[in-house]
Amino acid sequence: MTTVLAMNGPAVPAGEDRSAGVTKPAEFAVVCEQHFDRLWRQLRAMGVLDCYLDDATQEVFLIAHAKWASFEGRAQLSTWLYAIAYRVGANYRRKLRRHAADELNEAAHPAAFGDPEQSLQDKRAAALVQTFCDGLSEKLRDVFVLALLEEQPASEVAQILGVPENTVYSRVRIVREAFRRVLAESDLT
Amino acid sequence: MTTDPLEALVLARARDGLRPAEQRRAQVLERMAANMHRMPVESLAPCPDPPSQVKNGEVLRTLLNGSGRVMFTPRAFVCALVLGAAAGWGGAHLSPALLGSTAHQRAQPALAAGREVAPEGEKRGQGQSRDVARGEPRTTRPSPIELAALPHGPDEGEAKQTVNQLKVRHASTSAVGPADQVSVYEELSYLRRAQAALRDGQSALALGLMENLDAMPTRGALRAERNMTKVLALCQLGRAQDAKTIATRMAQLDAGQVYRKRLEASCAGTMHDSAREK
Repeated sequence: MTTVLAMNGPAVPAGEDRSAGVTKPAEFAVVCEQHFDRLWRQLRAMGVLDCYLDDATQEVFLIAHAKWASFEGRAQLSTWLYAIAYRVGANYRRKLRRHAADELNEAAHPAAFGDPEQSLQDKRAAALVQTFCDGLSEKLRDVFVLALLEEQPASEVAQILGVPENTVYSRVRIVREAFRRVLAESDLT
Repeated sequence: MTTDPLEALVLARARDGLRPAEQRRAQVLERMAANMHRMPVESLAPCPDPPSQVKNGEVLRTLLNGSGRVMFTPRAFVCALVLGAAAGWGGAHLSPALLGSTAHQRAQPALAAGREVAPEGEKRGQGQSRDVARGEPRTTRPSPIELAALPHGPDEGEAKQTVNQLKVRHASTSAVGPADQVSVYEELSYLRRAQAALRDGQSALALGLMENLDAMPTRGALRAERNMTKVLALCQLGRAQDAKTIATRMAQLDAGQVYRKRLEASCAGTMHDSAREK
């Protein structure tokens, strides 16, 4: 499998048959491979239940696949995918509420078999962020996930959320202050 | 945007911590690759249906009998398969957690009551129209994908073929006893095959499948459904005493309460009643 896209690289994959609206399977597989973790994380941080993450992530890619022809390349591919994931995640989130048991799935933790200390730190950080996210309003949570956790530029966050850029900055300021307060109270160092 | 070192560090760690596990990631990617043009059947997550904008019965009707555009989501497709199997033998036979308690409670199996089983097509049609006509408030699913909008989206014939292929694939993959714990998906696959076998009058096969499953290390999430299937199979085989033994065991468990009415309607229930009368 050859890499034809960088995460923030060219918006249009090489060799893409856009006219027919068809993605070559191998190339789309590369897109999936490259963006999977970020979209998964975004959906999870947005509040999609763990047991729906598989379906939600698949749904994002299926929509991307179906709408591939309509992607004009005006935004980064990653931004376009984030926007799809945002809508999918928002739909799941609107109807569902997170169960306490789904806060963190120990077995599903990616670093479970790695360095134990690193793994523990990752888990604690993830738990802190997840808990923090759960306490935010949806507007602030989306900004936190996209701007701080996923490090998307404010302009693209504004585009995804459909709000003015200044609003994004304003929300980032609010949510960052809150996050720093939580950090200060935590024992994470 | 991040400037504070501690904030940056914690966020970086959280990024790692919130990533999917490698195994799960690989599974989802594999399913997506395999099913980009064929909706996944293995994606059923062991939790209640998320909101769906499409009624399951409607999906099934459109997928199997109807025409026009199909509102198609992975979970809806799985529900269509499961409901198709269940409707064919007279009623939903999966747990409320999987199919929704409303659908489950109103389902009354013809087989359990010893009634004559209607032809498959007729029975299925009735089951679906009942579902749609009642307009039960099924949960809504976000952003359904219109099949017609997908490149290479399967038409009606392809959909039927896919159903058959998936059945064959499940049959071939799950026939071998796994060394490790059987996943809920495989357990569900066994159940579905057993239900299909019951519907076709192959009760010995259905019983064998369930006994095979009993011998495997499962999580037991579908144990009640498994026992209910065994009771129905034993009733069909005329082994009412064995059916009653299982039914009695089920009745002692909380999970058995869900199937109380169905157990009473089966040969095991009849025996139980007559024994009480004596």
